[in-house]
Amino acid sequence: MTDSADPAADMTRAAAELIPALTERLQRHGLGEIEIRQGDLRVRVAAGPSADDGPTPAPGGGVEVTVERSGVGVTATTGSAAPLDPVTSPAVGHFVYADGLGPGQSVSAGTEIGFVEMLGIRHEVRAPADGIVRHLVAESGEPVEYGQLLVEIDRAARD
Amino acid sequence: MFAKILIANRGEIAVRILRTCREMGIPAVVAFSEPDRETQAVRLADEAICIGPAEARRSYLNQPALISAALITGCDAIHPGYGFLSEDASFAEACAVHDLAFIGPRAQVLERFASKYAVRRMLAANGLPTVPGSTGIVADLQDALAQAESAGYPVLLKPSAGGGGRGMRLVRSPREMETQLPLARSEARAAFGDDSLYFERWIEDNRHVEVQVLVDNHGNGIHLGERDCSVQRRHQKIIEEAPSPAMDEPARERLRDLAIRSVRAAGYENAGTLEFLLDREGNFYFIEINCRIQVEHPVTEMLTGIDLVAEQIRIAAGEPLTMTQEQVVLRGHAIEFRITAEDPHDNFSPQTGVVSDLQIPGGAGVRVDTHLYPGYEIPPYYDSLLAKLIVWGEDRAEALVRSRRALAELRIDGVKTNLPFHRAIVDNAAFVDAEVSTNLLDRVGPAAFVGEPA
Repeated sequence: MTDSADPAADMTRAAAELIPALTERLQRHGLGEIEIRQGDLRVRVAAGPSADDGPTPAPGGGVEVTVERSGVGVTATTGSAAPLDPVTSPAVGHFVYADGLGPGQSVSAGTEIGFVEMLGIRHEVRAPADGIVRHLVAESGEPVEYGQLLVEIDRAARD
Repeated sequence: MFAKILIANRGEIAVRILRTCREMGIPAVVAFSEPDRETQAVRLADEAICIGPAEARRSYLNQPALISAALITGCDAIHPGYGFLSEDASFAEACAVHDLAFIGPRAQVLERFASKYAVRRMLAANGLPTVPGSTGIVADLQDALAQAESAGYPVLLKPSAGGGGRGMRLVRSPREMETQLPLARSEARAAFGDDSLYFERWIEDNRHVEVQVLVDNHGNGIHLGERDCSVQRRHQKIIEEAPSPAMDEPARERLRDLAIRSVRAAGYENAGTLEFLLDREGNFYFIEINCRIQVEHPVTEMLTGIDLVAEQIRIAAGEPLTMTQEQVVLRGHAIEFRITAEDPHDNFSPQTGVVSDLQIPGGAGVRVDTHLYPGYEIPPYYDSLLAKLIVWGEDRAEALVRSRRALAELRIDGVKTNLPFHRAIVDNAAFVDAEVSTNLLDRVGPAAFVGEPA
């Protein structure tokens, strides 16, 4: 084996450049999967199993990534391996994030995530468990329905 | 006219209202509870919004959630359908506070027509005959006993805040009054948050006849004829028809005329229904008014060709009625069958299940209002109405023939329904001869009308 055939180097390059771009395209166009080839390198990103079985990767549903070079393959699945805790809206109104809340932030059960304002009354949204904030799904100020996904928390990341 | 309407209801009536909104070119938003996400109205809607969990108190009865849902989706009106918040003056008032039109009577009108007892007195003052009964809300047992003695037993105890036949109790003797009064009180308190009771003398073998009215805010009011809803089980209507087969045309005209005159004089507005008892001798007595669209409104639509939901919307938007009394033509005969998820072979116990297959009848003179589709799971949380089969004929005989044909075509697989009851009663002599009184099913037991299970 030569240096250029090192699967670990290919994986590093794929992870850094190709996978984020492909995942973004996949989600933007609602595709089931997308695959590119560069020389004998093949990178495939497919929508992972999601809650609604739709073709579009659901937020947090994860994508399956395959990187293959001349038959030497590595498959990785992101997101879906560790199910994230959804934080949903307790009311019908406008959702506003708590100041400074962002992805990667460590929260404890009961930490304020934000609030939903319904007819001038604030309904607090709190973290259901200790964990790391992964995705801010809702936009601040956005109108939300009851039960709408606002934020996802990765409980396993703090264990 | 309204820019967008929030439909604050579920089931067949949400679909029904949505259809009229479409035809009027008004976008509609369907408000739904979590288990109703897969319901037909949500599937058909331009837009839908989840307002809460299954429990009605937190969804379809949740006033702030409904008003907020209307505001964030850009609605300027709310149609409450029937049941839930449809006659709730506080909800109509809350809508007004947020500049939303409540599609129904305004809050102050609902308020005035909220107490059944007060309405009875108000309409009696405007010329409507009422059933002899208590002279007011009964104070206590002593008062009830004394008043029932002078009115004469049996009497029907009724919650003043009630509706839809709920919480009513038949009392045949002073002894029964002692046991029934406290029960009726606690039932009324639990169901309506108000334990005021009054009573009326019970008229044996009565029929239930009601008059549909439309009153706008420009001083116009018309009636759209009557409906006869005498096939009932425990005060719940099962079959409705128009015109009433128990009255002749002069009697029907007198009833309709008296109803619209008294309700206009009393300052009612929007669509409403005045309910009457009809005794064996042909006397009618006013019992109550319903300030909403009713389940059985399609019977009237079949006879008149008038879309009652569209009229409700126009009146709420401040528009005048589009027709005069002279332009209303009542043509032919219509019968509505309420198809419910109840097992007639097991004392009409409520059923749930998944609709595995569905055969909807069609053809001339047949209308089906339903929210069912194959694969739909009937949730246990709400009322058991699955579909309304409405059949029209040139006369009652033709309507009956067509009803038998349509009931035979209708098939709902996967869940037990009261269809066997309907198929049996359309062949029953008492029904065919218009001899059914409102208490007949309770007296002989509805099982008498249903054959053995297949």
